[in-house]
Amino acid sequence: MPAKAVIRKEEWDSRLHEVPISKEDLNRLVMDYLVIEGFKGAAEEFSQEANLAPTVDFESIESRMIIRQALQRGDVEDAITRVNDLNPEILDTNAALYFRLQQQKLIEYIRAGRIADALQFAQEELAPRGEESPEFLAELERTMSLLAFENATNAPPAIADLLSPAQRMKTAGEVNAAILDSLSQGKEVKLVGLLKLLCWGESLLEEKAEFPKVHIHVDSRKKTLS
Amino acid sequence: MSTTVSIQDLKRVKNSVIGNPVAKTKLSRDPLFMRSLVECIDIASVAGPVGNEIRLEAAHIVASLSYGSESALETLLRLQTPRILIFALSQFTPTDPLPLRSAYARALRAIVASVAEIVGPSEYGLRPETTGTLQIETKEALSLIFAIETLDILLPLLLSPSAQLATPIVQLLASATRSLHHRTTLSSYLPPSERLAANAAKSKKRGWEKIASPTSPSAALPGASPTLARSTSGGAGGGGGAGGGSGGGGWVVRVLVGLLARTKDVKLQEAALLALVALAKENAGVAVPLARGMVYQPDLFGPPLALIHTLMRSRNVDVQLAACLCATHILRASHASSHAASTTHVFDYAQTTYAQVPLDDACVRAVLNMVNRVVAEGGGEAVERRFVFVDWWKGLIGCEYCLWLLIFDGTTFRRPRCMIHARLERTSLVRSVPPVCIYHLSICRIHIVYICAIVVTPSSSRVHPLSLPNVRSFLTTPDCHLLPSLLIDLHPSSATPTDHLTTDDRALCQFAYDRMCLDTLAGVVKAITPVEPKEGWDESESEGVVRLREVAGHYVLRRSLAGGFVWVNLLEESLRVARPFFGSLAQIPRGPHLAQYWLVEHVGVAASLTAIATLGLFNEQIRRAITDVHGLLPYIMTALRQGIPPHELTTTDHSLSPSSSSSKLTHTRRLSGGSGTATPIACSSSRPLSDIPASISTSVSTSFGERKGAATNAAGVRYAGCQCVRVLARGVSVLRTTIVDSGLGMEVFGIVMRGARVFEGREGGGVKRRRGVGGGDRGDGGADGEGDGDEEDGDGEDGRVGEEMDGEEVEDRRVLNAALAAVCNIVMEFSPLRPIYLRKGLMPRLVQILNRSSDSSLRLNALWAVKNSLNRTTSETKRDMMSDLGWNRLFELLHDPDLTIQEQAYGIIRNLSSDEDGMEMVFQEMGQDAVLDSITEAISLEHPAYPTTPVSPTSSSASPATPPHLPAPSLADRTPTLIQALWALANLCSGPSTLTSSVLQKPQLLLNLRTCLAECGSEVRKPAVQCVLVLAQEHPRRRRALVDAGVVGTLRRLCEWGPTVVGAASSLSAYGGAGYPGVIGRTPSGGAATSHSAVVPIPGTGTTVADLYAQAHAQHQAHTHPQRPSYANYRAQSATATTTAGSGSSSIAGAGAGVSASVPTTASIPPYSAYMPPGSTGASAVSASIDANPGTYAAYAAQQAQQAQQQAQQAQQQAQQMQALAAMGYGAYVTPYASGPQFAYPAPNPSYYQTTGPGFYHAYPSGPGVNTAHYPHPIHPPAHAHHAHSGVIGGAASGGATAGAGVGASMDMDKEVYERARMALDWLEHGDGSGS
Repeated sequence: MPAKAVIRKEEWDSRLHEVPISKEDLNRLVMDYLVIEGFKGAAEEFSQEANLAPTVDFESIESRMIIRQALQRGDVEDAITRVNDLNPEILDTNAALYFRLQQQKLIEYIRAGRIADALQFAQEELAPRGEESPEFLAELERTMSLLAFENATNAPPAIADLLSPAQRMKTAGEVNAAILDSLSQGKEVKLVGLLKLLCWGESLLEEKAEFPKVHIHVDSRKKTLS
Repeated sequence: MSTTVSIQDLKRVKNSVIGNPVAKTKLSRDPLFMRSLVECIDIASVAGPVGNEIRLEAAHIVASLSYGSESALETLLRLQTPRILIFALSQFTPTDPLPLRSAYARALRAIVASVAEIVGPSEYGLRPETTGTLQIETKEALSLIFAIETLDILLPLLLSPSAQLATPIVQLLASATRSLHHRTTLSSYLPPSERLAANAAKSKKRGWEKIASPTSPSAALPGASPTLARSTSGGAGGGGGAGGGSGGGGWVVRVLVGLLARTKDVKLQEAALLALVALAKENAGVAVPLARGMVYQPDLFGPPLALIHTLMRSRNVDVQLAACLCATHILRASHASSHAASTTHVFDYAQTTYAQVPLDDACVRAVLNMVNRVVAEGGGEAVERRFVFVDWWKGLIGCEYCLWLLIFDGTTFRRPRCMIHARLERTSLVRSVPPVCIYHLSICRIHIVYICAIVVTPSSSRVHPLSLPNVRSFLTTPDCHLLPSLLIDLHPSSATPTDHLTTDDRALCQFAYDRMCLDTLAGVVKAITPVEPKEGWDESESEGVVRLREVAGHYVLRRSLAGGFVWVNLLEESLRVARPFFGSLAQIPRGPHLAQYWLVEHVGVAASLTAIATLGLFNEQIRRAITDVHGLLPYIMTALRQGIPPHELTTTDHSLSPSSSSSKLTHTRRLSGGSGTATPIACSSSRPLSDIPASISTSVSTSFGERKGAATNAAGVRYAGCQCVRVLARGVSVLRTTIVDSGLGMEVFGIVMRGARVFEGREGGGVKRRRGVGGGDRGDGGADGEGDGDEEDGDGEDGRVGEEMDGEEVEDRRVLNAALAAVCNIVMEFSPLRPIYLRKGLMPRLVQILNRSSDSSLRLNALWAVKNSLNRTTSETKRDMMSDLGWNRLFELLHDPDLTIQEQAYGIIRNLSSDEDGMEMVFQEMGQDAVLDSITEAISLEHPAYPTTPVSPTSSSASPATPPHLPAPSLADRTPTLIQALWALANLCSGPSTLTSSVLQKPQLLLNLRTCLAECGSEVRKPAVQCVLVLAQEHPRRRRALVDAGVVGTLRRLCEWGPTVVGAASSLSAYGGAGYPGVIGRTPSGGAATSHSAVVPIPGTGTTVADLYAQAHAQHQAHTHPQRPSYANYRAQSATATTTAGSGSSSIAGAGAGVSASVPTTASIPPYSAYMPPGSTGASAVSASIDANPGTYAAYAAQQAQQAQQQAQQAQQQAQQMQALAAMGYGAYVTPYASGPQFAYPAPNPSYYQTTGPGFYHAYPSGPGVNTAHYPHPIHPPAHAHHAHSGVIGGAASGGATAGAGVGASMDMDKEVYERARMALDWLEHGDGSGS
């Protein structure tokens, strides 16, 4: 195995500085992060300070966040209503997302112990979805199997997962992405993508050379990206 | 009433219906609410101001309702919602709140999208067919959208500064524009102000008015034509100037490109791209300007394709995908246009232009570069996500996109694939529901090939080197456990690209055959096709898979030939490597049936074509390969039976027995082994089949989702099976042996007969016009019945509707149609099945269909089958059959409003009167006067001017409806009918003088005959002169009548200038040997019906048994052949047919003839060639200028056209055709054509001109309300005929084309006509035939 080339820190830094990065690009990255992650106030402030034209209606950020919060606290009904108010097409044309929301609602019923409601809801709302799109059936079954367990601890992890907060987050994330999509926005924070790219690039380079890495994983607060 | 609806109510309703088709359907059943809902959005009807908020919510609900529930959609359409929305949009002012306007636009968009999806042609596959009133209503709604007034309201919204308003309109265009007619309407659209300027003097007649009745195909085209006329004249008026209002692409396209260039909104970009896709698809008139960028101000936007190119690098995946799609379609359509020849079906350019014209490599490279760049950007990440929560379309595109990556970039190949893999593991939804991902992946395979299609451009017979290795490596990746499914799906549908790429293509076909891929293919087919379907093997299929197979089957059938080409390349390379997987393929219980359709269709047509070229040398060989060597018939059998529940299969026989006239026989059916009937197992032994209900007609309330169920698919599979049989039945020996032995013939018969039970049951119950029992709120069945109910025997015409209403297991209409088409081929004279069919009650069933079906193509095919059955049969059989049909009925059919029906009816007369007995029968049973007056009327050139009322009282219902509503197409459309009528007359004249003397007593008849002789092309003249000759010979003493009718003068004129032309004609072909180019049999997809020239590589047309058979019997049967030349072909027929016959196996000669045949504009005879298509041999300066500068060409063409027209009119006025001939060097006989009303628009514009070629071709799959590209229903004979006809007209309309028509006409003055005219003249003048 050939010896790895060693790149010293100075050299590395000087090379990095050769790369032209405009302040504006960086600002847009930050803005992108703020918008997509839903920091309405910060985004407003930042757009003024950085003199960036807003790419999106700030109100929509807020309503998006309200929807996300509603989902995170388990109020699916409210979330659906708000999504529909925001853009009635989102759920109408996205059967999978609608199903996901309905499923979450069922989970919330089960979580709250309202078994009768849950059953009725599954029967009236979810079953037809399953008929319309057979691909939902398995997921529906998985959800229904929650009913078989007294509490989540007994259930196998694949099923118990449904009751976890992560499930709510996931649903919320999907709804968020769909709304962003409907607003012609990117769905993922570009910053995150860049970080992933960085890691991937580093791992490739690591095979060939030694160089000062950006220790994001170790401690992302101490190092910055510049 | 609106006061009853509160905003809270509306919100509640909105939240309940969104995403919930069941709730939508339920809501739509509440008429009160629906009415008040629609009133809420109706800004005209409400006196008091309804709050904008209420309107907004109501519009949201309307938008939601129109999607996902047919019932809701129907209700909305009943309530005139589109109209209301359009009106509202026209009334809104900029002061109205934007969200409100936007909501209205979106609601309209949603409705239109659903409507267009129902009207079709759907973009993928054979969709569940919507029938009944909804179909009519949707068509009306769609035609409303394309009405010029509507466009005047909607299209200006494109200029709205707000993307929120423009986007829905653009999306509306993207989803609604599906047919050629739509495309031409849009591309010729001008905003009112420009329109006024452009054609101040134009007549008020608008094309769009006609589209309202796409069910009657004849109506749609005349509709289209004036539209074209408008655009063309606009172009000419502007001097063909670039940038002119109607210059290439048109106003709409320009606006769309403008939007595309200016907007930053990705949604709008995507929509605009898709709208451009919709417009440019198969439409060179739009695609070429887009690709070459000649039209749009280059300093502003640059060439549109470049813009699209940049959008392929958009950050947004959707935009990237749409841009890829757009570029693909633009490239393809513009390629097609540069190979206009390839789109005309009787054109063998394999040796001539095809191989020589260099492909526009640059464009392809551009696409490849784009893709590579996309790859380099690492778009895979985004694509990967698309695999999960995507709707169908998006998923499709996502996969396609992903495959772009896979295929074009070997280095990134692994990565995305692995990501897919990983993603499948990660995503719970997908993991738990594998079909989803398999579905998506399997969609990919369409696009693997699809992409190859781009690489394999039409004129290169090679696959781009980039693609194959990558496909192959993808297929051989060891850890790809999805491979089997992928392969299966890849396998059948690989015909897809043809649909997107080339047209049916003889060269390609030949190529495919030469590669001798049959063995490989057959191996694959057998590997994946279980002869006996496994128990319940359909159950596990997701809708996607089912759909997929449909898609596959559809494409397979549509474009099998060129698909074969691509497939051959792909498979030969890649499948060989992947062969180890085939073992496992066999275990996968699905997708079994399509490969062989493709195979059979492909090889079958290939065989036919080869047969033409080589006089049948390979024909048997190939067919035998299918039938014997590879033993594919059982698979076809499986296909025919798929989806039919076992009880249905077994009861097919019994169902007939109680009441059918031939009931006794049906029971003995399975025993009847005589004359090689063999294995009636086909129908009687019921193998275990899956229990999928065959009914496509699910109840009204079913949602879209349910309708797309497996049942639908089964219909698609049966449909494909029937197509296979039809193709196979083209071979005489196959027809005589294998089809019988295998039981395929009886199986198809079973399909035809399957519906009989319903009728029988109805009659048996003594309840005529029984209403549907489960129809709920649909009262249409009854209405239909009332409408056409006054048939002679008092039976309602509610057949089809009634069937659905009864909810019985009746065959799908399209399957039935295909089966009828197959039967048409099977009942040829030499078929052993003919007597069996007849014995088993074919005739009553056909009559049943004929009388009860409201579907014109079914009626046509049924009548066709009757005609074919009558061909060359005994008097006994004739009598029997006619007693089933009824002479009165036949008489009515002679006056049927549908011209194609008339044509067949005259064909029946012709077949009936093939011998003396028959003649007598006809005269006796129908009445001399009735027959002859009918013929008189039919052969009258000036139909409307001579309102000869039919004598028989029974016809009163039919005839008034005849063509007053079709003034323009009359002559051209009627010509096929006219020809058949003349042939019938010729037959009737040739009897003993006692019978025929009555002919001479009809002065009007003789006058009309003379007119035909004087003013028509040779196809008309030939039978006409034959009539005259026979009359002159047989009745020396009665020649007076002929002389009185002025026949002598006409004959003399014919003879005078005939020889000039004959010289030219005979240089091309020797007529004598071939006899009449009789075309027996039928080509179920109608329009392209073949002459001898059936080089026709259009699958589903192509040559028939007829060709071979006709060659065998060419000498004497001309008069009795059922003949069905389409308008496109019939004039060409003579030339091609003779060439083919005369020059034997020389396919090149066939090609030469093909040129003149299919493209009247091409005029392959040098002295007359005013214009040669690009790439055709001896390209003239004109054609050179096409490529260089369409504008110039347009101007030139316009000049030519005007000139030609002037000349033609002149000629007409002076009634001295010699002058015109002298002036033009051709075209004296252009007069009757050029002076027809439909030729009032000969000024071409470049776009239309360039469309001509593709127009020809795409006309076939399309039709009124039928998309060019994807319509799942290739069988639509009237439509085809019609389009074919328009093709000719279109051709004639463009510059040299008029000349070309002239050439065609004068060429038609061929030797045969001349000789017969000469002979007749001698008889008339000298009393004997010695003069000749």
